[in-house]
Amino acid sequence: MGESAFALQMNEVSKQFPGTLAVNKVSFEVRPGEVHALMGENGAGKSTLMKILAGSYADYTGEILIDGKPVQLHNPHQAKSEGVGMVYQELSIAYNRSVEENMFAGNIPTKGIFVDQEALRKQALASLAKVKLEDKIDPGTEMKNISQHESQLIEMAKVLNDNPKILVMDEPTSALSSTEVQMLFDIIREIKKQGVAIVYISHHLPEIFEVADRVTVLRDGKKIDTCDIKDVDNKTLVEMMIGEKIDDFVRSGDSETGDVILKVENLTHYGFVHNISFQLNHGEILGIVGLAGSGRTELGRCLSGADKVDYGTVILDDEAITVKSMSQMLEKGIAYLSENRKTEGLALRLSNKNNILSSIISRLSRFFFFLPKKGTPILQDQYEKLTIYPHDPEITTSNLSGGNQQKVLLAKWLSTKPKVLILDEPTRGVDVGAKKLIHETIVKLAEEGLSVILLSSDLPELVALSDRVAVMRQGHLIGELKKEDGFDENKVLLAANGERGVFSVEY
Amino acid sequence: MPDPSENWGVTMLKLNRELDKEKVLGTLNHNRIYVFLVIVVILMSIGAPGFMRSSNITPMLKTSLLPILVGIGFSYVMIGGNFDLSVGAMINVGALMVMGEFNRFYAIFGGEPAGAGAVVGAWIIAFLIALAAGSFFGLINGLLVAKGKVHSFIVTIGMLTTLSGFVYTYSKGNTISANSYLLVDIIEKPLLRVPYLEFFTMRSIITILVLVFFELLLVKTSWGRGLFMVGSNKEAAWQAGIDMERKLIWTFVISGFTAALGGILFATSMNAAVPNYGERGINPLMLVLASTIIGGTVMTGGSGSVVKTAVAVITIQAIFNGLIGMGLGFDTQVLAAGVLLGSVVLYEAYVLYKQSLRKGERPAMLPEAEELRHKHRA
Repeated sequence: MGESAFALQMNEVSKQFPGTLAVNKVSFEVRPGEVHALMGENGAGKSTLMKILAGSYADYTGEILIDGKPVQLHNPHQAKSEGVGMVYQELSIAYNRSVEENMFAGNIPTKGIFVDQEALRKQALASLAKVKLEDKIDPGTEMKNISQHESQLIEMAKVLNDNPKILVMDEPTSALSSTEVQMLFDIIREIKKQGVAIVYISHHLPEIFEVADRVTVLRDGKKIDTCDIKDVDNKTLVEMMIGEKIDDFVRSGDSETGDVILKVENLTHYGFVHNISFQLNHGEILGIVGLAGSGRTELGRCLSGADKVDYGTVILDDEAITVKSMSQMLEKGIAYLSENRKTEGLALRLSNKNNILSSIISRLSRFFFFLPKKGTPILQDQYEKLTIYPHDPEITTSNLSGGNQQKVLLAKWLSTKPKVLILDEPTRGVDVGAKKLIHETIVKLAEEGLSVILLSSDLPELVALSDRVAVMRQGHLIGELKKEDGFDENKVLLAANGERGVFSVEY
Repeated sequence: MPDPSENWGVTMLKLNRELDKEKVLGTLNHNRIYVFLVIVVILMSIGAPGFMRSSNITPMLKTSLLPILVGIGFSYVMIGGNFDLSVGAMINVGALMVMGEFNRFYAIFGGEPAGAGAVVGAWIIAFLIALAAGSFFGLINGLLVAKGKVHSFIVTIGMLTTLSGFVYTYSKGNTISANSYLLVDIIEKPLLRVPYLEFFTMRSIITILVLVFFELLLVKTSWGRGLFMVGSNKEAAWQAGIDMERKLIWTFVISGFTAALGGILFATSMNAAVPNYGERGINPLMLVLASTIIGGTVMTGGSGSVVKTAVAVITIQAIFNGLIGMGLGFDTQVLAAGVLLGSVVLYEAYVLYKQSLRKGERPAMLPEAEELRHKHRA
């Protein structure tokens, strides 16, 4: 090196998506041998920025320099050959194949016409040594027998094989235990010594302080600042991430909540969520917050019967329920709006009418016949309440905007007349107007007596809507923040990072 | 929140033990076909008198030759993550065309008066044309699947129907026999007149050589390893720079080639070909499909072996043969094959289901989960 002080420089890089400027003239630079943390809330533009670096977009603007030399990163192959190595959050693994084959796919050593098994084994072991797995893993093992933590390290070894100058890691610790995180950090320090520049994306504040040298904070697609990690603490970082926001929605009036409607005790799904206990009142909105991989969605899936419940009691309206299936829970009055509307929530090629009525087919049936006419008043009711646009139930759902699709999904679950509605990321990927309307609807429903569990990573939303916020961490409910004690985004984010002393009630 | 690190050591030991158990079961499952074969042979030797006699074993193994050849290409296609349902029709293409083209060229070369030279020349040309035809139809299958992005079920069922029409047109619905008996005498003659070794004829040796060639290509070359990657995870293969489309096209070409070769050798061994082979009795497609799956090729692709498919063919033939020896009929044969296939497919589905249940599990929570399990059980 030596020609340039920086391994990577990004100058006024922007990326436009239809409707939003996801990355807005962001400039930052990374030194060789430095761990540079990239932080920001969901939607701040971190992932988009890193995808630009990985060559996922051909239409970014601005300048990128690697080792002082301007480069074009218009496809993954270019990025790879310029020395950018990405360790993705979602790994691409061929589970039926061995470790060594996965590591050297497309580049397998041969002797004559046959695979050189010995050389392959040797290369694999040398590569595994870089991530300190050479004694632990036999390169011939099939990937499906490898734990997720080790798969992640193997993926990293695979990336290191190409001798990258810049190594990008996106939330590498979201599925790891604390000992495994320490192992990962040891490896990162090792790689650092070899002069590799590391870009480290994470939400976890303690990790950043442990491993990073400098940190760049993004908010709403813009760079806020780059600081030495020595010069900042938890509080300043959180403030930089959240900033002074104009509240796009404020919940008006005092929310009055009634008696207990749902009581959950020691709910457990082994390996996913453990010993979850909480209560929910009539007309209350309970926010549940947690970092990626904290078990938020898993809790929602257990409560709604989508996943197995191994142990624990669920008491709804004074009736103890053994959770068996999703249809049973719908019957009892718990509905779950899933996180991903395109793959789990809606049949995009069907009409809005068929989508909305799909949750109550059995209720609209007599003998063996489905009588969709009986659903017309329900449809009208939902269309009015949610102001779904355009006002025509026969339109194919895929033709609607994201916000209106989300409303159709909401209507689908509301038509089951639930007592408790679990909302998992109800406003992900919808525009500001639709977001506001969905927020208003949620509040209105709560005022009418519906109890809502809001699982969301959108902090402003969570803070604006919730009566209480419960915090999940590593599959456990660790405490809750009460509205009367005052909570804001800072407090919630600190709590989600496991900082004690901010809770109203600690479990 | 309890500290998970307290009982870490103990629990890891337990987990390790469980992993070992899984490993043993996994290895056993990988090689299940050999276990099946041994069990079947033992059961049949006890239950069916004369099962182990050379006069029984030899024809049984010979019946396996055709499905073994067809199974090679079928396994290749399935390892790539697709199905080739047109193999039954490909067999007929190979069988009828080798006979028909031989007669055509034999006549052109002057027929019987021209002597042995005409026979040899005509057979060579007929073999090449029939093999080329099978490979060509396979190529069309491959292009439609890989480039046209049409589901392989639809493509190959279409090919099956088209080729059925083609073979009836080609043969005008008749049986075609070669006008020379020279080849059939060579290709089906046992090389050694020794009991149990009578199986070795030109035909069986060609089959074994082809089988070994394609097993080596699959397991020992980087081309074969790449095919496994493509079948296992197309995304990962693409990222590794493997030319996925070309590999998939080749699997269909190989399938057309081996199915046609199977038909060619079968026809020359009988010196006759019919346009409706496989329409009565046990459908070769069904037999090959069952063998490939029982032999351990994963239905979604990415794992498998042509040798194991071949062993599975022999196992199923042994079951059929043994059941006849026990005095049971065709109905029972089909039933037994169905039950065997059904159990294996159910087992595979069960394994996949079990895996899916654990997807997204947090490894960090497993020690605690183990503790809780104990507590809750008590």
